Amino acid sequence: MLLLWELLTDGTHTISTKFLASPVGIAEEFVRLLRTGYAGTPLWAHFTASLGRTLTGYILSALVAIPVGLWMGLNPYVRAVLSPLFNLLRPVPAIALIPVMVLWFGIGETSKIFVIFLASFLYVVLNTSTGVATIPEGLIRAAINLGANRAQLFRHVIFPAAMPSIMTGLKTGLAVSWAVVVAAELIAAQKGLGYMIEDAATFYRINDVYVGVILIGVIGLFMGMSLEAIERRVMHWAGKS
Amino acid sequence: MIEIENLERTFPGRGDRPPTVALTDISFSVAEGEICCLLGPSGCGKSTILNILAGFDSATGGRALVAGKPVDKPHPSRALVFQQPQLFPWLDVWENVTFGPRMSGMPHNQATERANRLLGATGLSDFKRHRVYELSGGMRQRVAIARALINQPEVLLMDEPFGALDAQTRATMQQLLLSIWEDLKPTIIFVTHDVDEALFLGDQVCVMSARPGRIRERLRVTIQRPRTLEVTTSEDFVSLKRSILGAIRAEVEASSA
Amino acid sequence: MRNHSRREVLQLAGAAAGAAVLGSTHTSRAASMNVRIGWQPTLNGARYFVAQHEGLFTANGLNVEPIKFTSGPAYFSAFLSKSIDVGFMGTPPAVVGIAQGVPMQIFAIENYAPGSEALVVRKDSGISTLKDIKGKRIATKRGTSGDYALQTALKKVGLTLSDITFLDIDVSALIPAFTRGDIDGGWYWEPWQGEMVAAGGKQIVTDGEIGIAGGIVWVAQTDWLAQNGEIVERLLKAVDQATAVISKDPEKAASYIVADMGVTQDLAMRVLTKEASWPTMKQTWEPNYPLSINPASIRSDKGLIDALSRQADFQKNQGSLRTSPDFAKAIETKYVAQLIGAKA
Repeated sequence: MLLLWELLTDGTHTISTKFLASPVGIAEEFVRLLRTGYAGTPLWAHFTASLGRTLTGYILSALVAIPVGLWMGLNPYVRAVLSPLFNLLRPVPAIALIPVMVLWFGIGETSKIFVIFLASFLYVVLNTSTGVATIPEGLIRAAINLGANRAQLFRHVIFPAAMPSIMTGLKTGLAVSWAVVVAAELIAAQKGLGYMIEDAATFYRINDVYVGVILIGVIGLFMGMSLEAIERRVMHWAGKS
Repeated sequence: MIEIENLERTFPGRGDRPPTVALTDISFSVAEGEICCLLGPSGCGKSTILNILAGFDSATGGRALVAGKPVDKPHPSRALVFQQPQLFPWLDVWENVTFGPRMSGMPHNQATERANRLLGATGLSDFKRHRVYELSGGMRQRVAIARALINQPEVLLMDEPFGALDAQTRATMQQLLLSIWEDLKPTIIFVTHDVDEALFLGDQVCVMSARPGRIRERLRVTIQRPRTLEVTTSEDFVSLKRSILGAIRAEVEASSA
Repeated sequence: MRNHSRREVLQLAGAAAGAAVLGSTHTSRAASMNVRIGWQPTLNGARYFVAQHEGLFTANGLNVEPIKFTSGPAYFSAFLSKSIDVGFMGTPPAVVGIAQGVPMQIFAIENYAPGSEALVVRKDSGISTLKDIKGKRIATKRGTSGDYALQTALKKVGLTLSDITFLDIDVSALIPAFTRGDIDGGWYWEPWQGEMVAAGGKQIVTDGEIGIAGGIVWVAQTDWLAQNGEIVERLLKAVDQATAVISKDPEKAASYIVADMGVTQDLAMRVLTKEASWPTMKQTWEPNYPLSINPASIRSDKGLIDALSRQADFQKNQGSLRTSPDFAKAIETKYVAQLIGAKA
């Protein structure tokens, strides 16, 4: 497929490289960026800036969202209060929040991490909550009948039973975090892959945009696959009946 | 072992719906080590009786006593086996069976010894480390039974446990249940809508009718034990069956009148 | 109606219909022509808003399909894919587009804006003159006229980029950052310039005061421009007519901008009357006009060409652009020439 792409663009000029950059062009630009960096910052620095923000926001969101989600799942009153609030926030695009974020957290890392945190949190918390609330009543009854007390019920039944949903939330949260980092870096970022993409668009450096987008895509894929590998080991039983 | 006296269960009305009388004037008793079958159509409240005995529901009238004491909270001594096995899918067979002892803190060797014995009795010794999703329906129910029995309950409450199985597996399971019972002699209340099953398994059969749920008739099944499948075509069996079917027919005619 | 015969009524109706048809064919000989205009919410594009509100486009036989853009670079793909015909943008994005081979050409000047872009600082920043920005946190957006202005200003007072903390901040984050004190000052265009002042800032120096000419230009898709001379003429006429409204009745012009952009009347008036100026098409032909498109000026690297080249050199030094193209090829002067009756 890459060969066909290259042929259509650089080779025969069937598609003008103005419309679709050629793979060789993109590869060349990638090498150039590795050597000289972008806007005075080395490429790896852009990469680690984005990755750092994403992982921080994501991990924090998981640490907060899982307990809150579990609480919501177990307590219908808490769920009745928090669930509509979270559902309301979920479709709000990160870009719309920029002025508020800057007002509250300034132009440093906090505002960017918070945007990522918020986006991921909403997915993890809602999936966790649903995961707990949809545990079959029969499993709970069986456990109680077999002598489990409240703490044992939670540790030995509720938590493992909710695990598939929690994992779904974590996977979605990770994907969302990495997707939102581009928007988060619109908040006065001075480096980052998202910053690079947006800046390159200003100067119509399309090959740089492509490099940025592809890098983001590849890293996102890699992170997703890692999480799935973890999931497969922890939850061998999920999805099988 | 079990005394049910004038049990009533009425569910309160909601909105403009009137209250539902699920059970009325239910009285029967079950001796220790006896198998009592509750036979009836769906909606007759037989599962409600089990839930009350298990401690997941409470009566609105009358009494339910087990070993002379009124029933309150759920407890492993009144073990449940459901129609869906309700095994924990993240645990393997061994971990499912030893769940109860792990919760109660039973010493490891004791639990292991009991588990091995029960797995032997249910024919699951070769499947200890199998995952739940690797088992057939019938095997899963065996695990459920073993899991319930490991706590050595006073009463085994079974709610149509073989209803989801095919006829052949069902027959195998019925015989398996009887062989375990011969060995351990728990008191069993077995809920079913299958006349043959009720007569094959039970020492007594309570025939129930629906709306409101009440006991129409109580029969003693005097067929000799140990019972094998041949008894289902014996004269005694057939005549008991006729008697029950007659009662059911009268019921159907009465309710459609 | 009693006294009119049926025949008379029919005659009247027929005459009315005939007049209507005649009337419409009269304007439809100069039949309403369609044009897709990409517009931006910038006060510097004032004549566009005035022309819309005053119905000048329709009066000149144009059926405008307006398409909103939030920045100059956003036009590039639109021109490439021919999804718009014409639009207006600042000189910096025009430079980038042309240098990067986007199929667009400049065919007219919209305004000259020496005062509608400035360095505004917080009152507590300790900055009272340009030299004081040393060691301070100054914000602008890379690639914009503000970026060019800031770096030109630094050179002017003998400073370099490393003498300040340069912060690349988009307008969406500017005012909250300014209010919080996360930055000491920013170099931005209207209305952000005015917003910073309103947020308790103080204006230090404008683009004009450090000698940089900048403004808004009209650009069009190259092929479309060559093939639609009639539409371009009508467009130029409509825009030119709007100039009079701004000079003769700035209050009214300001009110249109207030309606379309939500800024205050004060700010709009300030921009329209003090900070920027809108030349007639004829004035842009004067060889001495700062953004002159007179062919003589183009040949001698003066006027618009000078402004464009300096921008391009700056971007090339930054490493953002690889080439500084021949802008003469990117300026199409024949339509303005035709409008004012001069030789292209």
